[in-house]
Amino acid sequence: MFRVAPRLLAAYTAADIQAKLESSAALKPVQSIRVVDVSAGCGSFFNIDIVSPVFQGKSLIQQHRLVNSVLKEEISAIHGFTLNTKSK
Amino acid sequence: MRSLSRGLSLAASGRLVCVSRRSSVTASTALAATYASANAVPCSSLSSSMAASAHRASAAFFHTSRVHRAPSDVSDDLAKDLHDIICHDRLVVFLTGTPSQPRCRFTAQLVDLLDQLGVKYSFFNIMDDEEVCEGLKAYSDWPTYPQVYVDGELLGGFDICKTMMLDGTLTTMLKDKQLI
Repeated sequence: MFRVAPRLLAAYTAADIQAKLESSAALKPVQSIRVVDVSAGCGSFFNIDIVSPVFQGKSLIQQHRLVNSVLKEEISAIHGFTLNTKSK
Repeated sequence: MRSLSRGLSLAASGRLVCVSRRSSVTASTALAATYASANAVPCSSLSSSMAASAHRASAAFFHTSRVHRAPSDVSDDLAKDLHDIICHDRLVVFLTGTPSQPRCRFTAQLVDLLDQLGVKYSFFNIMDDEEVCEGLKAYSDWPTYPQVYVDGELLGGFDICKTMMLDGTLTTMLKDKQLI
């Protein structure tokens, strides 16, 4: 029987993370989201850029915490990520 | 630049009292139980001594800290240790590895950034202490490393420091606080 490595089954794709962010109520209305898998498709490292007016008036750490809370499950599964947030 | 660690170093510093802590196995088990539980486990139930727990609880009541803290996420003992480390210096960074031997690229880039600024800072190698590593994530509500603290307050991770460096707010803030 062919067995897929369990770790691969748990891997996230850029599309998964993008969909999660786009559907999140905390970030609506979203102007643009860009998620790039920079681990050559392994699903372990992502660059994330988000533009949303919800970030207006918030400090950088508040903005990042907002996104961290949306991606709580993903963050604990991946190796790392970089995040850039803009309000416009 | 000084290395921080719990136990002997903290006691030797003279400014901090080394808190006697439970065995690492017990503490790790308690912490693991906390995270494994579907419901939040009250801090008091993690303490081996009810009297000591009551004392720490009352002490925590009068303790003020600018760092976000969720008592149900970390035990009182661990929170005390984390607070002591965070306030050990005006600028404290928690690194994966050490400045001379960074274990991930973000730590390396952060160390380069701090060296470029010429600031004095203390660092804690979170790979030396798994309990601090996991506890600080909950304590500060920040899931990744490195983490930077200024005057006991979480500044953020490398992304935030880099962004602030690029738009000039980092140097402005450090000058205002007379750190550079």
